[in-house]
Amino acid sequence: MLKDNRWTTHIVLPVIAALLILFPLLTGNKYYQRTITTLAIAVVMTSGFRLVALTGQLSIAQAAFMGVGAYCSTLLIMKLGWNTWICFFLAGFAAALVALIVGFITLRIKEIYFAIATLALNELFRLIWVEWDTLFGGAAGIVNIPSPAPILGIPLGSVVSFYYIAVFLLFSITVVMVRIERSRIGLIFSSIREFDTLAASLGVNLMWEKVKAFMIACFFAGMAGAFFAHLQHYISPVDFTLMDSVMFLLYGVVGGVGSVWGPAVGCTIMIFIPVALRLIPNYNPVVEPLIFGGILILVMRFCPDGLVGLFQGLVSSWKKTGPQKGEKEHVAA
Amino acid sequence: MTLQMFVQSFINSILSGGVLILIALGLTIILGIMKVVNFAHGEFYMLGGFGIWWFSAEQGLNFTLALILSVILVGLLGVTIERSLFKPFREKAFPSLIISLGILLMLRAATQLSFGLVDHSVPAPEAFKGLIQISGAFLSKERLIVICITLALIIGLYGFIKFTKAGLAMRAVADDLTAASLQGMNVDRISSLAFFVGSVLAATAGCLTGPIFYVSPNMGAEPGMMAFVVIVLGGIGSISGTVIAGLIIGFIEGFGSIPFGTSYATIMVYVVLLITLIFKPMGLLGHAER
Amino acid sequence: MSLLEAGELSIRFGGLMALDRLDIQVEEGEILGLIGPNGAGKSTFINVVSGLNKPSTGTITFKGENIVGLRLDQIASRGIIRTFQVSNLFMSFSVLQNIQVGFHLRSGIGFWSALLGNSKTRQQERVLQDKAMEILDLFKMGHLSHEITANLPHGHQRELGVAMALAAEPTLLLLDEPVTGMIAEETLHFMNTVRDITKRKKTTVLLIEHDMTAVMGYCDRIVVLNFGRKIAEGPPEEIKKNQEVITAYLGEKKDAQNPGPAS
Repeated sequence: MLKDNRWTTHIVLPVIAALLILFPLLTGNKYYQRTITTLAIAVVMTSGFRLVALTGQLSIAQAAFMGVGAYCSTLLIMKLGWNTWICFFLAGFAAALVALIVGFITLRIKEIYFAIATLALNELFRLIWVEWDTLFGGAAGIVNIPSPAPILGIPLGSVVSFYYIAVFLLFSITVVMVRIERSRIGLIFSSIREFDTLAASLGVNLMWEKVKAFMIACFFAGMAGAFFAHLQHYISPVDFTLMDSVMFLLYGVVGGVGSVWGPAVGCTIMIFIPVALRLIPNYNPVVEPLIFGGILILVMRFCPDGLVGLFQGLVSSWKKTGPQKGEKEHVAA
Repeated sequence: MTLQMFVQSFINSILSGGVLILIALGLTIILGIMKVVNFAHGEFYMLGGFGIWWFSAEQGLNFTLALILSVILVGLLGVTIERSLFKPFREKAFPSLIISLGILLMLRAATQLSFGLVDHSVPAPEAFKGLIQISGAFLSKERLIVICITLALIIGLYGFIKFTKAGLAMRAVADDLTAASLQGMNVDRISSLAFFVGSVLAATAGCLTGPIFYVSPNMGAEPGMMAFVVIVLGGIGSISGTVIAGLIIGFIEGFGSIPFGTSYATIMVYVVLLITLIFKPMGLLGHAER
Repeated sequence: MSLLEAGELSIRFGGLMALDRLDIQVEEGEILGLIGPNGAGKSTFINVVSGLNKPSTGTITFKGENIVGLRLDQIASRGIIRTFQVSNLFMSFSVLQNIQVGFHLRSGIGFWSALLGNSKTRQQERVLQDKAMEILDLFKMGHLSHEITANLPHGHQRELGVAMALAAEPTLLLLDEPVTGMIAEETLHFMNTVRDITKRKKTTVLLIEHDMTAVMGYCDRIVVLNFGRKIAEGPPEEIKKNQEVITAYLGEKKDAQNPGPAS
């Protein structure tokens, strides 16, 4: 937080952006494009989790907000025939609105009410989607979701077009995250996590700041959900479960909540692991939660700042030999 | 609603409320004393169920013996987990919460790997079999016995915390960990005791409901979640609040599922929770922050 | 009308009356010393005024407005800023960032302009940065601006806590034992700096101190508390001679061997 070197955002970020934009031109491999599309969505979601974590809160319902966006946009498009791009943004606003309401109820007090409430919220939404089948299609979900409407006459729906939309979404949230950290907004968010009573005594409205962070995170989650619906052409309650929310938490923790790079690193590694494991003959996917759970415990135990935090710690201890204490920023410590 | 249906629903409400209270009490004690948020708590319930299934159905032991063995093993597992994983994260709500999610994933997957993702049935002991007729309603002896044991355990725990030396120490640590350790209390031992009691209670709930429902690796998910709803609704740290909230939720589920179906009853529980939090942010009997 | 008026203020912790029907008025522009032995209720008074604790009974008005029941940030936004006795900083932040948080109420940068970061916002951010350096320089900490706060020596940490509160440009500044742990020289320099700044900005100060000699020379007026009650009030010279005050401190000296007043 707040001390990523400027060159990382002024040089590394544009380079990565250029590479991602050029990537489809370099290789026509659809599988890679699809993998990066999925990865980009995961990074968007995990960045949202991280934004909430910056204020010292844990949201274990990010997948539910993705679902809110997905269902909202899909229904508006399919039942009312609205333009897909308007619905894309409305999905974000719908998710942010739900976040506002939930935030106002559960973020008034300290402690862990918010974390537990988000957990319950994910389950609540799943039940609503399953039970209200006339509207949400029940457990079977909604099928035949169309591709997004053409932009400037260019038809969308191909793998490459989805790839570029995902990359665009990824850039938007990354730019927002960087801006937040470079500005007073991030400073105030972090001050709440670091010492909320002191922040409040300097005039920081704790609840409102936390709600703000939560709303931004959920706005992007909602848009990611709307995109996801188009991408799959199919959504159902199993796409947005509590386990998915826990996975975003896992990605965030593994990568490290302390840095903008955390979500990208965490998602890349954690999505790669099962792909690699499946190459093992007679591989039983049931061991995956076992491995994920183990990784989560090990990371929290031995490098609570995540892999990026570990890396930054190593770099700064090479650079200078001075005491490094105080540089650590634990997750919601 | 006929009288018969009413009695039936009433008994079901008490049963599901009682089971929830057993799970939630352990959770609230652990949260109160160690400030550890254990999302894996529902898995102790699941392991209790698997314990009794394995000892009674697979190994052929009698029900009581199987229950005792299962409960003690789960209790010891709880203490081991507390000592090895949660200890460095006492008083740190969020790191402990993340750790507990890791434990949840591992316990569930390990059980699934060992016993498969199928339902196992636990043979009920002779004493549980048969029906009792109360005002026209036929009630299984099983449910009534489970309710009696549950109530006895809740009263027992209440007495333990209110009147014994160990219970007093627990409350002292819950009030202020640093002060308690300064006064020479062994915080390590009290934390372990809390974890032992908590996991034993959850495992007992799993054992008792084993013969009524089936045993499966995912059985801890819903009660585990509901137990959190119970302690938030009742007010974190309040034992009476936990009991009251557990009964409220039990009754919403017991009576709400007849006209609307189970899922709607569950939705109703969440809605009740949210509405309560609007008016009482700390839960029904929660204390204001110091 | 006084700037801050506390009337019949009582607060009970368990069986203990931490404040017992306390009446205190703080006049605009003065430095009011609130002193007393340990456990006299000094810090409790600050906690109640700043909104950390709710009084059991009694009223507090600030500029004529009732502030009992408001949240910490609401009271802060009305111009009452406090410091904390221990753990008074954002330890993992840089020194400069601590001051920047102090600017929260005065930055004038809205959420959207901060997010967009246009040239006007950047200009404002530069001004804030300069202002922060100015404040740090007053405390001779300018060269430490990029240091991590946790690495600062104790004396600087205490000063930074006050500098951060001053950054919020309070109308009423509540200082909770700011010189504890400082050596005599540090105290002298620190108190001079605080007095200069607050007199220049016409900030009213309520200064809590355990060791009354350290601050006696800086206060316009002193209120002495013991067991949650006001036992004396008046200019420093008067307080020094007050028999009840001397007894209160001497009594404590015998029990707890804390530094009493120099006679």
